[in-house]
Amino acid sequence: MSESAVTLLVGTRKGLFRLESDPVRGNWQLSGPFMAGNEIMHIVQSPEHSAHLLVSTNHPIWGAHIYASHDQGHNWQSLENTPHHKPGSFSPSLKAIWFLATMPQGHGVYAGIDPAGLFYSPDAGNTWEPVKGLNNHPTRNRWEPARGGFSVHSIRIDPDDTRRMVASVSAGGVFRSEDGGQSWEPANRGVRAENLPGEFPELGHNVHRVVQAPSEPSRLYRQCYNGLYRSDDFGLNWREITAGLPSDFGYALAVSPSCADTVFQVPESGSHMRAAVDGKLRVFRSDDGGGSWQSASRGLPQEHAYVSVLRQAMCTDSRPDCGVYFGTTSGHVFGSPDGAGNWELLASYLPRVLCVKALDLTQHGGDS
Amino acid sequence: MNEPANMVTVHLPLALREFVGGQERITVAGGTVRQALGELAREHPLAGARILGPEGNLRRHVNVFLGEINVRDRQGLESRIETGDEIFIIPAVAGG
Repeated sequence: MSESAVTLLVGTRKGLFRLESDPVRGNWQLSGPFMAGNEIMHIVQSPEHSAHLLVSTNHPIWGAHIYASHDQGHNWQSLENTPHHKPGSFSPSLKAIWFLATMPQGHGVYAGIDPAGLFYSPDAGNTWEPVKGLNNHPTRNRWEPARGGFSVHSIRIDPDDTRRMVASVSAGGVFRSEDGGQSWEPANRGVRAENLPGEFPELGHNVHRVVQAPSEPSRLYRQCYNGLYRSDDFGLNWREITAGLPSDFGYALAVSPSCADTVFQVPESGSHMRAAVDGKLRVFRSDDGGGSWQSASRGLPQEHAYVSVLRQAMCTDSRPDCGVYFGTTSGHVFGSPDGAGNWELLASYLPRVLCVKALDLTQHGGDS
Repeated sequence: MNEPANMVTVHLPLALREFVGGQERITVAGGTVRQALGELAREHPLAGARILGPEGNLRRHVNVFLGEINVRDRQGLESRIETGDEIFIIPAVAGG
């Protein structure tokens, strides 16, 4: 098996850091911070040019912006325009840009923002237009802010039919479109929401994270406020796969780029604590699509680790042996070169980690 | 009749200078603070977008002083300016 270096981008509350490995991923070199002082909310890579990146940022004084890099993250340039609601329609027009999603081909990009809104850019973030079918959805008055914000995130696009996509509202549930965003339907069948009446409410769920299997794009996994779920039909139906995990609560979720049944999750104690269950920082791995789970935590701290892994702070790379990476709210970054078989500490004492992204220089997978 | 275009100096904090070619201050024209900042935003949109939000209003934690007085204690962005006035863009302590 050929070896090649991996570049991991780490987005924190105070800027972006680059971690570059040697070819066997044994040693890592840290550089940064880039865009120092900015919260790095999300990082995506262009499907057309592997060196082209976009990040969404937030700053308590200077606001939410998008930066672009054309050299794998060594240099960054702020873009002029941001996705935001038309002034007067929602207040504020823009609080944060939570999520970016590139179209599978070309230069199109979607952005999910707070207050809940979905926007599309046909030109790699230079101009933006609202996706009115979701932003003005007739159920919008039934959405409500979650503790972390009131945002659209986890935008997933079917590469085989790019008119088909899902977007997640916290808290409003997952919505699904089959016509390129013109119309949207709630896609929460089979999903619990203990904050709402009824066993399986139609919408209103607090969605924490939705990931898509690159090798089988109709396979989605979904971590909710109550439970972990799987869909085999791009969100039409969901079934719970929480059994075997120490908690039904969590944020971080990632899937193997080569096997849709291999999924990784970090369980957290419930909404009151929001930290690793029992102070043990554990990753659970399933190789049967959530039918069973095993702790895959060798090398991770197993006592007094009361940290959290945020929703965009775990990812896989595109290597055949499936590297997995995550960062914690305590500023520690862990990596496994072998699908969570063994973990190593790659960096420590960084600011709170908000997101990670393993750059895919082959353009064949890895999630973000 | 158009508002008189008075020339004023806008002093920028360190965090914004990278968006105006490293300048510490720039000269713009306008009859009000809003007009002056609007011209700044047209000439330097990246700096302008950090002072004014998408609605065109001052960001919550950005203070603008006209001389020694915070414009929020005057007429806000509609405060009138005269040639030779100095405008200071200063991030609020509460935002850091």
